Amino acid sequence: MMTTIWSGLSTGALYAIAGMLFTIPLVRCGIINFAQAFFVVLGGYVMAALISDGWSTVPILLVLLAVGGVLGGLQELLTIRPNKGRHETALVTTLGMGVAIQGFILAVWGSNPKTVLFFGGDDPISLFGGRLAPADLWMIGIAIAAAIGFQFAVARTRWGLLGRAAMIDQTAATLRGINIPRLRTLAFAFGAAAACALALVAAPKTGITYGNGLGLAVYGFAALSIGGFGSFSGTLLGGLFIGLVQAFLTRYLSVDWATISVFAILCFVLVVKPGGLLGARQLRAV
Amino acid sequence: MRERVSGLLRFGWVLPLAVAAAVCFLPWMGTEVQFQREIMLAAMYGLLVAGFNLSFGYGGQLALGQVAVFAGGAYTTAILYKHGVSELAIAIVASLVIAALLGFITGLPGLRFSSWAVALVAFFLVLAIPNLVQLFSSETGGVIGIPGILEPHLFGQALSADGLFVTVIVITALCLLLFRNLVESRYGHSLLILKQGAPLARSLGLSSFRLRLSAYVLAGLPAGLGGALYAYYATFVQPDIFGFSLVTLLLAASIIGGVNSIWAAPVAAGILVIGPEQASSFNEYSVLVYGIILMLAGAGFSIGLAGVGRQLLAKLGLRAGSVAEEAAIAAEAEETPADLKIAGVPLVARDVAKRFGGFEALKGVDFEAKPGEVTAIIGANGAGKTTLLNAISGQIAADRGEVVLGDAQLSRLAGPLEQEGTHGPNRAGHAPVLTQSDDVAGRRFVHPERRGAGA
Repeated sequence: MMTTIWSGLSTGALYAIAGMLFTIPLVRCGIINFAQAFFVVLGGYVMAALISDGWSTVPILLVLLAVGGVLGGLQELLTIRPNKGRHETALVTTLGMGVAIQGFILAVWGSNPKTVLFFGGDDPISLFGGRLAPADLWMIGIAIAAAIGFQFAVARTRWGLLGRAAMIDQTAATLRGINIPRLRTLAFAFGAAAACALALVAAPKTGITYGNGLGLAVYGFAALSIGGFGSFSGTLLGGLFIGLVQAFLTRYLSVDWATISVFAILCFVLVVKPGGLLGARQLRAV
Repeated sequence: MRERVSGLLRFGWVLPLAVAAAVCFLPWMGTEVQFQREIMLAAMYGLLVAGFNLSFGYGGQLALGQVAVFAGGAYTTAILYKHGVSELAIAIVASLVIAALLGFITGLPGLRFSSWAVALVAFFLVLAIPNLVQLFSSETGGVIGIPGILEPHLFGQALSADGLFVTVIVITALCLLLFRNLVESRYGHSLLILKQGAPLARSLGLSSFRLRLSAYVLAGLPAGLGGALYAYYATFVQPDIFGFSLVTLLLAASIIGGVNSIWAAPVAAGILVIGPEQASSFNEYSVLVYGIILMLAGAGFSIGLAGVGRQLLAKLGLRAGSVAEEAAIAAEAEETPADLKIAGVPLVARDVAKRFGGFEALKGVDFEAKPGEVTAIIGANGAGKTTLLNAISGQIAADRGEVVLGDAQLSRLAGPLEQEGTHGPNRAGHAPVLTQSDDVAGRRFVHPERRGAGA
């Protein structure tokens, strides 16, 4: 029972972090980067390759941050900036980036899954009468820390204020001297770097398979839609909720019912409360 | 000369039909079976892409759930076959019903929200296809699928392989012709207006939600049809046929052909079917190439083959029917008698008031605009001129007072803006690029039944 709860919470934490990764560019410039989830998968492959070359954890982390940062920045410069904030085009190009990453992985590493060990060890630990892996505990901790940290940063810092200004009215923000394109490039670079680095914790848990990106994207997106568009704490709650529902239904019914149920819950929330449970209403038109 | 060619281009739709008719004879021209099958596949994917284009290129919605609708059609046909129904006509009708249902159910939650949500719901649906199939595995055969879907019948007659080929080509051509007429109609133009912005569409009296939902459902119909044909083409259905790779193929084909095109859809699908999907050496890189195609779409290449073709024609000074249309419009203008009188009705505002927080913009305005006269409102900056116009045209709700047009109580309409847009006075200038006469013409175009009234 408690083991199921832990499993649900850690999976849910992964979904929540994926949802927050979507939220980072969203609260900076109102664009959702579909490729985020695929960056996590790419990070996993890069990490596996470096581990087999005998690298240790800290240099790997730095490489992952650099790879993500450069790719995310380039993505914004090459595919978002030229189309001047037209959202439906951004939808296609960010999806295209995700597909291209998936294609790159297939071409370089092939379709065989890989596994890596967690840097914090893989021996299960017992906590409150349930068993979980150290990576699971890390995942839950990171999700909570990220939610609190980002919520604070967006609401209370100058950095967050600039982003909110840019999202609400780009023209007005530009007139007040905010460099919107630079803000956007940095948001994409930062988001992708965080996504790649997340692989350090996510890859040992999920395994490394090129097909993981779509599932992570969809569940992360579901977490943020159910929890609340643009709200980090809402995304955390949404993710944990989905994770728990999935874990319990998988345990007591079947994995198929679990997937369909999460889909049904998502549709229900979108119809009944389109802004999500904790979402800001003005974000509806995103 | 130019006029003659333009006149011919008016009948441009005959050309694709002629091509389709020629393709129908391929089995008797000694073409290889493999090539025939590729063309069939291109036709079925073409249906899928054309439907997607209606909802994406015209409706602006990334309705990738079409893949799930395609799967729905294929599974419906396969399950009917399992129960002894091998009649293609029945399978097609059943698949269309399933397609409409699926479109409605999946369109509802996404379309209320945003284009991101539509895409999300679509992806989730595609992701959940294997789970759905597994849940009903007694009917769908689970992971193994339904094999041996052979020997279709059409109106009671057994269809040979060649017969199925011709059936697929004919159905595809007819379906695309219907779709081409749909996008050229008022409906297609309404969708294009909506794509420019919901306020513009609403002020022209169009309901954006209803339009988007209907486009989403309509766009699913060819996908369901294609799915029904696909079951007999492939002779088996399996959940992993309808996955993420089909989604990317659909999107790439749409962009290559041009998101605003119908006829280019099967051509683009054919390029992908005969090219990347077959060449085994290319297969390794096909996903990467699809990804790059999608990214290029952002840099302005979404006009596709159809767009390139249109631009070529435009460069040569030819546009389908342009000269003839201009002549028709000119003739209509000349017909209008000089002493035309429209029986107008007075527009009366009584005691209209509007307050924005602590600022009282309108303090009980009374005025009457009589028919046949030009009534102007003059005032200093911030005097409330625009607020008054907005209150009259229903863009904002007044706090007090009433607006009467003839016998109709406009302020009582107080419903959605599109209702005001249809029956009430219009407010030109919401789209600064349009002149007043453009605006009136637009309204007349969208609501032909209200010709001359209210405008």
